Amino acid sequence: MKCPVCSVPTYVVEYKEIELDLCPECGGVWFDRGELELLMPSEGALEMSPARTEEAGRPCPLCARTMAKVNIGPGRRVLVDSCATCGLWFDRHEVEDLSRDLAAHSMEVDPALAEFLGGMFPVKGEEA
Amino acid sequence: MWEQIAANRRKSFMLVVATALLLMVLGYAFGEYFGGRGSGPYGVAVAVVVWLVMTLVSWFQGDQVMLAVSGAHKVKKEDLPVLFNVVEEMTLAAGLPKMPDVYVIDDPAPNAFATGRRPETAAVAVTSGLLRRLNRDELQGVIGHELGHIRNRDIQLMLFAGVLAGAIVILAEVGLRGMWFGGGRSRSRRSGGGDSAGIIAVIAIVLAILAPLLARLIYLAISRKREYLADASAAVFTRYPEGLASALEKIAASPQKLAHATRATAPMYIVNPLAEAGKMMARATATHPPIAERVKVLRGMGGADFRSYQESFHQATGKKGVIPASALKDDGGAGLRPGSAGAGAAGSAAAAGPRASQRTLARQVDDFFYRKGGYKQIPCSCGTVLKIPPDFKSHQAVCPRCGKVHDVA
Repeated sequence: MKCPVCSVPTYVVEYKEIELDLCPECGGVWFDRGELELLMPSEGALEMSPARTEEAGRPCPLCARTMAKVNIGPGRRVLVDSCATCGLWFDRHEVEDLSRDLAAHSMEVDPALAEFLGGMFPVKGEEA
Repeated sequence: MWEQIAANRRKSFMLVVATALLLMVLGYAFGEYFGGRGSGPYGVAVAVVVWLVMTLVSWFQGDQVMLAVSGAHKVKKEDLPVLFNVVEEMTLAAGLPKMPDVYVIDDPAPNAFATGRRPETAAVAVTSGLLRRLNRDELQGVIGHELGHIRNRDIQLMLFAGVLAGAIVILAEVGLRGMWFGGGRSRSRRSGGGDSAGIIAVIAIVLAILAPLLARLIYLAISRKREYLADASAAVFTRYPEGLASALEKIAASPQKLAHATRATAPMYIVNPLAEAGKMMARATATHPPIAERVKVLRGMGGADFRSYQESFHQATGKKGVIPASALKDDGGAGLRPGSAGAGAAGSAAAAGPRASQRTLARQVDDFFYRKGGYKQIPCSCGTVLKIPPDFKSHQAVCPRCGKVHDVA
């Protein structure tokens, strides 16, 4: 898979049977469709609505169709790229933003995911 | 059971006769049309040769061709332990003489099919999309359905029926093209274009158009009936109809379409991969009954036997029944069992069991294809595993969890 932003090959990171694709250049993260849903506390946690934005649409890294810009999460606060069939692309720190949004709506994330993401995307953030 | 298989054989025999007759009539008409008067028997000979060749090829190569066309990879137990386990369990439950070979197709669309002309040489194939999406109970339902096809001898029947229908479709297609591009001219030169030639031309054209439709409809009607019986078999093998019901719902809700499905392989799958939602024609021309109906019948079952399926089928559709009388006679009257997590497919957050098994399955199938694709696995001391693609550009990869830098090369 190639990063939809930098078009370099991404690598896969697995932790406790959770898997995501990571871009070595920009730190963006890809979740296959269904992957993130499996870890969410309830059906509503990953609801999304179309976003109004000037950002240009990016091609889906799997099927190459242009992804939609959507606001995701219970507070609809995080702007991500979504391919309806393949999955979700989070820019660096956007996963973190989603975790925070979930916490703000007192939705608990799967502990394994929380631990994984907590280690991966510390709230203070190390800059590469 | 045996009577059920015998009924299948009788049915397949009748089907062969009926469709073979159709094929010969078509051949005769084409013979008269292209070869001039009196050439009908030659046309029949050509049709029979086409059919024989196709039958022989499919008989000896059918399963391999099916698997090759679908891009299937054979898996061993260590590749996909969960899937293998489920197939082993269902083999026992179905009472098959030998465990079928297991194949996986790398395709995001969830689906499965069984193939092989005898239970001893059968194979079952599932897509990676199916394994990524289902939990263990649901996978069991799907595998039970496929092994049901194997046990009920559906594969043999459908292979035969499919080839016959296919021969008719090919003959009609070639014949129609021949008429369009000059066949008609040579005929009028030879016979001078009499009345009888005109009548033969009309008959040939009508047959060329109707025969493939007819052949396909016979085939599809039988195909749908076999699907219900396979569903009932899955419910009996697993004693948990909810597993298959919720698997069918997940498959139906999937946005992906099978990349590898062709018209020829479509009837072999657990749900029709080519079906377009909301199409009115779908009912008559579908290889599979509508999912909603199949789910309703499964959910309405009061016990885990064929009789319960029959009753539920009758209630859901108002139609008489789909289970052969022989299967109902020596029915065990087994009860349903609860799902592996107790809560079943209710989808509640507490049902961690099915979700965890779904994750395990997804990882096993991903790793299988990463290995096939030449990915390098680097375990990090913090517990993550980095999987590096063969075309990875840089020489180092960072573990995002602990920050450790790993050499890739």
